[in-house]
Amino acid sequence: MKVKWTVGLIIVAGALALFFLSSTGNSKPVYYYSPTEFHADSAKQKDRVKLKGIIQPGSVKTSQNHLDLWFNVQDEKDPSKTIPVHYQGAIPDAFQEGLQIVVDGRMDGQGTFQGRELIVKCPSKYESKGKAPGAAGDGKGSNE
Amino acid sequence: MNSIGNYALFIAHGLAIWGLAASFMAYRSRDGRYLDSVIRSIYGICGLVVLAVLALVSALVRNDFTVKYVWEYSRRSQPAVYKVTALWGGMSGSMLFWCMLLAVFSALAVTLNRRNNLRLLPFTSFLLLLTLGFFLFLLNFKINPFEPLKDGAGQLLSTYSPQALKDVDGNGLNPLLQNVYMAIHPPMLYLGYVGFTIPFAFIVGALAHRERNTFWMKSARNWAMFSWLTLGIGILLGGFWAYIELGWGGYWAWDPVENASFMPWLTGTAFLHSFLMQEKRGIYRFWNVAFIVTTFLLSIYGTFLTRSGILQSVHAFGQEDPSVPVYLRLSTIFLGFMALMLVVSALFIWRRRALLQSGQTLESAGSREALFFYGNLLMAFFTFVVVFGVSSPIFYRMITHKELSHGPEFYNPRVLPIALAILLVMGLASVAPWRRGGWENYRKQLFIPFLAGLSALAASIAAFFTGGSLSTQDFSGRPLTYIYLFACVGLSFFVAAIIVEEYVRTVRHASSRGLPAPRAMAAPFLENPRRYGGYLVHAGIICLFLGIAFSSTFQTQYQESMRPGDAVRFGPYTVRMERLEHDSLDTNFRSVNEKRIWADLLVYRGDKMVAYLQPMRVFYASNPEQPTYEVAIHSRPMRDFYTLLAGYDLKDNSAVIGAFVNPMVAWLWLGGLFILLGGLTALVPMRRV
Amino acid sequence: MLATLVSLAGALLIFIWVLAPMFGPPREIVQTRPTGEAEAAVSKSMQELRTDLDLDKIHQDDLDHIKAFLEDESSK
Repeated sequence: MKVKWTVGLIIVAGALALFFLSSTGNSKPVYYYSPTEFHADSAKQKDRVKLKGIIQPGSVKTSQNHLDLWFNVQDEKDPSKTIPVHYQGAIPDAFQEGLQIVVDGRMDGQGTFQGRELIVKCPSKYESKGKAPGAAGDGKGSNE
Repeated sequence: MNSIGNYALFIAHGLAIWGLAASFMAYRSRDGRYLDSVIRSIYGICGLVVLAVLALVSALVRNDFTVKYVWEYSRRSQPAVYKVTALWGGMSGSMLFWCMLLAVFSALAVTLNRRNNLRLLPFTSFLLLLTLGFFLFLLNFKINPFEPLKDGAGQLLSTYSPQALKDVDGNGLNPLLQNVYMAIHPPMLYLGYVGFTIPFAFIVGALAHRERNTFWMKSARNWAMFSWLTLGIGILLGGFWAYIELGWGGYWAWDPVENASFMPWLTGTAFLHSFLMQEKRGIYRFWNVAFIVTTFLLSIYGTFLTRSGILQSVHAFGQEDPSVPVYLRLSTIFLGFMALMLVVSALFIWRRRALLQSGQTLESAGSREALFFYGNLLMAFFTFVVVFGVSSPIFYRMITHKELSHGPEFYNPRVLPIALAILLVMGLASVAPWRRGGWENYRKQLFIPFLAGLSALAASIAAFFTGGSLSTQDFSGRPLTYIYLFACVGLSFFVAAIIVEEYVRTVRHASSRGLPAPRAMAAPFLENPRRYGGYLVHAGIICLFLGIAFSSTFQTQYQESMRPGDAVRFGPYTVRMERLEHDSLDTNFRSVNEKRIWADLLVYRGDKMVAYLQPMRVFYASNPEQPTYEVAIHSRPMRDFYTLLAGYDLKDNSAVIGAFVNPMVAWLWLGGLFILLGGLTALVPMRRV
Repeated sequence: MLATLVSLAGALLIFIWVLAPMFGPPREIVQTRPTGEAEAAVSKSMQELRTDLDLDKIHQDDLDHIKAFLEDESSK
């Protein structure tokens, strides 16, 4: 049946075109950067990125009315590299100093990273990690 | 008890190996002795795996912290029901649960087909045993749920004195999972994931045996229907859980874990449709095999994605231990198994390609048969976008060692037009005639639906541009969003009108046979349950489309710092905060599982009080540093008012109240109800006239 | 120790039970078919299609064509 295949072909072509034409503008993929990588890649400094690191202990401040949040994202490998972040909105359940975090946002003109979404990497959705009883434990779970 | 669980898994693995060999022999030699032995080994595996599950549940309930899994996911003060649901709270437990479901399903499927479809059982059992054997291998050697716990000094806890053991307490289940919906969401998903293994095994099995008889198709269809239904309901429950538990006001974020369950559901949907065509017309045989193999592989892939830690995700996973050699890593083993199943299936598709020729021709590009094909093509593409979105970051990371992720910005522009096209085809296919198409056939039945769709489209555009709260400026800011919204409204009314028209006409025919009114109204569902169950599902899908379109376009977010006595406006609502209260916070967690802080809010619309809400933060014993949100929602058909305690200062007696006004979210849950009802209707045997 | 012995005994019994069918003469896999099932399958499908006849979504000759196919299929 020729017409059927023609219609089918149109659907396939349409969907393919849609797939590739959509990769411009706002729908570009968002890349993850550590503070070190972010500093090194000056071309990326205006783009929307996901900044990945650790919530630097001692850096967390909130405004009087708890609406604004400031903290530094610290590089996991190189603690000397940090980027200041400002965020306005509900603070995620698991937000805590020293934990891994991903901040989705972009750099403003003043060198502060304006976050629009915080993703706290709590140990897992399903798995909670803890220390073995008694002594501190080696913390190395064989649980993947 | 624990060692019994361990032995049970080990013996079951032995049985699976024997069963595999015997089923292959039965396939080659067609000797009934082998087949009998295969069936017994499936029953044996079923009993043993159930025994292992009972052993683990018993360990959880008895607070037996000598088992590492129990210590990780349970604690003494955990409510009993969450001690049991901790079975699927972690990796190895949920794999054990998966394996048990598959063993029970396999035993059931073998029993149900022992008489009528005995001929295709050898290879079908071979595929089932291959899958069972794979999971049993993992459970025995990679992710043993009965692994004993060692303390910091490396001493086994099982060597502790009973007195010393009394002082040990576990970590407890992740607080986010201590929720009734999260207790039932994973099992529902697993029922779906696991269930698709059965129709997969039957279809590839029938192919391998060159089965010409078509009786087995009924059994395969029912298993696929059941799996599709549980998977769909599981996905919706997951969305509902995210909505009420995570505190970000949404229900779906295109997160890999969510996509993992969505992919097999999509291909499963496509399969159910084209399988119907194979049954009635003998066409699309190749499509059906391809779709069911894909669905099975995506189910395994989904299980793997959610459990292996390969993806960046909101649900962040544990990473794999880099000291383990690559070929022993869980991800390698999973991918290897998937590749094996793909090769086995592809081999039989190739060797039996002559059987996949339908011999029947498609008569018209406008016929029902052709429209089903277009719909399937669209669903295949939808799946492709999701698979690409989930998988490409994995390959990107392998190649560049950098990470990227795809969010709504990636998916929405690619899938929304496809979704709308699916909606259109869904409507057209319901009225399309068999074996012929053409304008004549459609004109009579599409007139009213067309008018309904057109007027809904016009009304929504008019309401948008004349309504007070919105303007042309809004439109030019994001034109595509609104165009999709208008299209969605128009198409939804179009399809809904088609469904209503079909139903009314069928009821009329039933009453013309002299049936009393109530019986005639039930007649379509009783006498043609698959068709009208399907229409109920379609109605549910329309509700989902409308709910998603409106809630995602018009969600508004607010946040205010408040003290008791303050009144603040959040959109159409005024909120008065009465008190900020809390449980005694100084007692320890030895005796209580949770402590709460909450705000008492009175919600007014105009002068009328409409709700009393208590958004909370809850500290769980298993994670006392990280209080979870317990949102409070005033839900009405057209609008949810969603509040959360975003922040608090007990010394200052002040709180930050976050709020979302979410239009039509309730329609999603209504849609879920329709889908459930429709799916159940389709599973009920038809009443003969 | 007791658990190990019990498990070993259990394993032995299970394997004896599973392997028992192997000790017999070879025999064919015989599939029985309940009488009337073929007719029932066709008439079920036809009942579904009759809804379409009522709603003008199938012509009588197309219905006959599909019926012939279903009967042919179920006779295999």
